[in-house]
Amino acid sequence: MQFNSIQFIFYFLPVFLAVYYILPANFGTTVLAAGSFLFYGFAVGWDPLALGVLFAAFFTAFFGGMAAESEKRRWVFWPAVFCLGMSLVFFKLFLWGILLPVGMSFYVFQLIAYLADVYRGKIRAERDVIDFFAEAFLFPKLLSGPIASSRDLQKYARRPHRKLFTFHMGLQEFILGLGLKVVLANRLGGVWAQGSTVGFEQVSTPYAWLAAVTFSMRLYFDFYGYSLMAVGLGHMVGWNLPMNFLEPYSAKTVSDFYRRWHATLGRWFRDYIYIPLGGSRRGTARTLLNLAVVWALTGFWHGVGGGYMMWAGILFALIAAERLFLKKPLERSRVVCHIYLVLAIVLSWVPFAAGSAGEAVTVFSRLFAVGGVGMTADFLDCLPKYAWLLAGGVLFATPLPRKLWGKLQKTALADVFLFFLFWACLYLVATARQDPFIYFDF
Amino acid sequence: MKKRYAAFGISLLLSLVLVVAVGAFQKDAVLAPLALEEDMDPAEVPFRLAGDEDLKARIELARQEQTAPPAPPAAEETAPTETTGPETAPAATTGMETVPAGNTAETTAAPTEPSPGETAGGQTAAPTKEFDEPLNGTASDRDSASSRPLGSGSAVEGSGAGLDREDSAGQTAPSVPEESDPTAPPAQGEGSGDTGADNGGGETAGDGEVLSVTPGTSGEFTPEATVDDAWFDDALFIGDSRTDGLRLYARIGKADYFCNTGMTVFTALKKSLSDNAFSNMTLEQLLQSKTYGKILIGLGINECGSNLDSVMNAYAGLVDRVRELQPGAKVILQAVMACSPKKEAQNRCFGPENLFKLNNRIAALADGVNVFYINVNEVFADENGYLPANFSSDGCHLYAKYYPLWVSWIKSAVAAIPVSSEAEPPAATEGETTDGETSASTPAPAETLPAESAGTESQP
Repeated sequence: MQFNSIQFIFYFLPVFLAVYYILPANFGTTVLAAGSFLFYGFAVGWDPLALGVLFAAFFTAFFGGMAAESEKRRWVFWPAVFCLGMSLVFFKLFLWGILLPVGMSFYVFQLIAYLADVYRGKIRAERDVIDFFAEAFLFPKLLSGPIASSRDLQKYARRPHRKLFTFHMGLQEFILGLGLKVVLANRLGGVWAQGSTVGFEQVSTPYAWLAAVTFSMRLYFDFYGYSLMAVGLGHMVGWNLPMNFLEPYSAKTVSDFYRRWHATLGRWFRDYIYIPLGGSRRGTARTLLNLAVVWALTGFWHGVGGGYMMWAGILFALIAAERLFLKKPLERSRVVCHIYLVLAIVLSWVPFAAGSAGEAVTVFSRLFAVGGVGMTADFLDCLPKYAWLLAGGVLFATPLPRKLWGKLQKTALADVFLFFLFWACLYLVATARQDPFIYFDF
Repeated sequence: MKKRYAAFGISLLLSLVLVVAVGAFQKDAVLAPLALEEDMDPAEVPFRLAGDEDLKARIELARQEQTAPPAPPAAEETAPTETTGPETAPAATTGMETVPAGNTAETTAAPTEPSPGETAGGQTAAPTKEFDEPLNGTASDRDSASSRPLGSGSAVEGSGAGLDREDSAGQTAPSVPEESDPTAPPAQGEGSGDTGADNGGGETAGDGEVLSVTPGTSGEFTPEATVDDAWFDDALFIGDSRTDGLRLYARIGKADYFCNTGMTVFTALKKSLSDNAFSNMTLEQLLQSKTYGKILIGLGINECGSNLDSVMNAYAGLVDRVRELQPGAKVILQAVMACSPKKEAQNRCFGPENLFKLNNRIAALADGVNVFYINVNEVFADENGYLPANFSSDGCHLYAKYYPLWVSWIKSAVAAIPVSSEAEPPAATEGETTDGETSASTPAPAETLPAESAGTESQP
């Protein structure tokens, strides 16, 4: 059940919120746990395997967490983490693409973070099963993050911030995220989709660039929009979830980009992989090795295909180069760094989008006009259709809209705007639903 | 603590409301595809009448009807006509003027000058009529188109051309038993069980000599007797995303293209589109502003999930309107190209069975005089009526590298269509007098002039 589906917006969310706010505040976290369970059930179609894996991971972490506070915690912590990690590896490596239960990548990381925090004594283990269920599987973050800090989760499970102000802010964020996803992202994806339909070896070079740029935008607004909706939903129930996207395209270096892009995942890798490995404090060679491990795992986490490995490899190479010599000149520059960043990021998404290394090579060969530019009719045909979306995409990749929003957020104008945005989005969602071709994607 | 568990239970119960609500909501989604199948009247699927339960067998039988001459008597009858056709002008005109689809109600007005046609095809319709009424007209069109490359292939024909030989033999010499009996068990029907597989597998056509244009060949095809780009100077393509791909990746000469993604027979007259030679015009405006000699319509894939009768009403309306605005143009209806099994898995309506039914109805709109039907599935469908998976990533749209193949196939298929201006006026004037007779007489052997001559010239 996607946040931008009619089922969620018209059925799940209203009923859930009604129950949540009608029952006394004491029961808030309980209702959240129940709601999250139902949400996941709908999302996986009550698939017993997915639910079974969820509960297995849940109880592993729950009892593992309590035991990890005991004397012999070492003997509990590592096996528990190993089980959780291996479950993910198993699903990705052996059953990938078919059976990986929705959201598993995210909740497993959330649970490992929890165990590690308990093990290190940063937090107390959660002893309330229902609270822990809400913390681990809170429905706004269940399917695609953000991965929140365990300490924050425990705080909000005990004292959610149930205020009209928070709710209103959450609603605003939810609609904005919906707009980014439905208006920008879903439609920007068309260029790349068409490219793979006709086969990338035939597209013209300008078209290939248009496809690469729009794919980058699509990915950004899709995930940014989703994360904004998640944060908004969190606020609507009084929980403060971390922001995943901090204007990544304003970064000057790739390393900085990935501190701002899917920030909670980056933080997870930093806190639970990179720093335990020694981080950057054991010399250049060791630092590079640690980075390589982190990026190999990041690639693997996204998927097993050669495209993801290539993506992670390119990023590791760029980040290593930055660490060695590129960083200072880039940070000193004002224009070059942005050109470098956008180029590097757009090109690095190509294998990510292509899925396989072979397909990525095909797209690269078109991007760099190997064998000629090709017939540009496709580009000339496509560009006018996407001109407005492209302009919107560029605008929303800059910090300007956020600054403007900061000024407008508390005015009535903002709510009027959001009201229309909301119904426009629903119109788009509903019409897409009637399209026989997208129909079955629901 | 107990209170909390009670609350947990209560909120679960309350949420049952939600379950019911969502369940009711999703019912539509679950039931819609079923409804789709229900509105397919089994009796309307021609190959179901053959009594075959097995889908593959049925499709094969249907294909046999399409490719082979409709019936043994027809073959016998046509053989002489074909052989004599090319040399002697009268015979040729005979073929041209017989109206293939004359036996369908809609087209009875169109057939003209029936006398020669009768002699040629008098007995042919009867045997297969129950299967493929709509098909007859088109079968012959297609025969003519396919026979050319086949026959003429003799020069380059290699070891892989067994199927082709059989085919051409079937047309000229009815003595080949499997060929001549369309009601025979389809498995042996065309010998395609083995040869088709050979061809389908070898779609790389390593030896370059595989020439088959029969269904089941998946992309092997050597164009013969094609028209050149100039033929399309006064042509207009109307179509959906698939035609749009042709426009972008295999544009022909000065042809105009009125097409875009999602176009249907319902929307074709309403949409405003642009192309090289026009901008922001509806189809009506375009047809009023410019005169075309050939109008090729390639629609149907977006409609295949809709009710067939309403689709065909709209399709016929579109053809009528196009004819009305461009009385001098030949209207060429293109079969809906097959989809891959992957696409069918998304929705059964993309499967060969449904598309075959749709194509039959489209074919029935052809009158062989002003409106023609060409079936690209000869090149792109495999022996089961599917688009092979390696031709498409989404199962529906060809990779752009296959568009040139499609274009060269179109060029050869339309070579059979008479575009001289003489052919048309008599059609309009004299048709009505002989309705009754033409309907029975016309179907099978109706070969158009160029096709015949091409086909026969190449006979060994």
